[in-house]
Amino acid sequence: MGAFGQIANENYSNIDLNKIFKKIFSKEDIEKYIIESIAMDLYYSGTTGNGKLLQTDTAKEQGLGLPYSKKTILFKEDKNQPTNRVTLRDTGEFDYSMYVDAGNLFADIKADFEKNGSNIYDNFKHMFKSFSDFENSVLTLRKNRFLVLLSDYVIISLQKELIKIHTK
Amino acid sequence: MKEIISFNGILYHISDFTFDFAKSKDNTMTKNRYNNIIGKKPNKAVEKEDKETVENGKKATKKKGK
Repeated sequence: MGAFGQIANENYSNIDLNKIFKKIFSKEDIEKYIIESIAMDLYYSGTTGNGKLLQTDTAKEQGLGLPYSKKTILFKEDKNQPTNRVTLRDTGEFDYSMYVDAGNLFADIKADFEKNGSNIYDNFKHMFKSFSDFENSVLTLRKNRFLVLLSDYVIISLQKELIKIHTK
Repeated sequence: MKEIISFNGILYHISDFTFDFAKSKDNTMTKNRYNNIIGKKPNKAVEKEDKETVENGKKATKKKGK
């Protein structure tokens, strides 16, 4: 009988699922999946996790319908970086700063938004009412990614944890 | 055990992450229940297997209760 059957046939009412939740979200492969999903989606689409197409404040002021200001586009072209969307990836420091902070009752995606003495949010104030609003929008997993996280990562980790307890 | 947890600032019932396991009266976790949670349509091919899983779960629970 497979894992489903093994789990089904045992009484696990005393298991602390909160501890298992923390353990699962502390796993390296799960953190990697979450971070890579956010970073890649942002890089290839220029939109945040909840679907906002990023445009800098200066680009908005210039009114040309471009994601970046004309000056930034010149810099980006010089570095062979995409100019048709805001990627939040210049040196890659922002992507590398992302991590998952997991506890028994919560799991939060966090990152360092400070860059050269200022906050990345300072460039997007016309789109977001606060830093917190910006942070939540950027560090959000898209719904399809969230479903894959549940189906391909969490369920498998949960099964492994339960089977470990079962075989103790 | 606390049933309400937060993932990225949004509150969920822990069973959203543990696939109804926490709420299951007979301690079973079937593939169709799991598919339902991840938004897939119930699959007839696994229904038979699920039925057996639930029956086995009920039998095991009864035995333990005796």
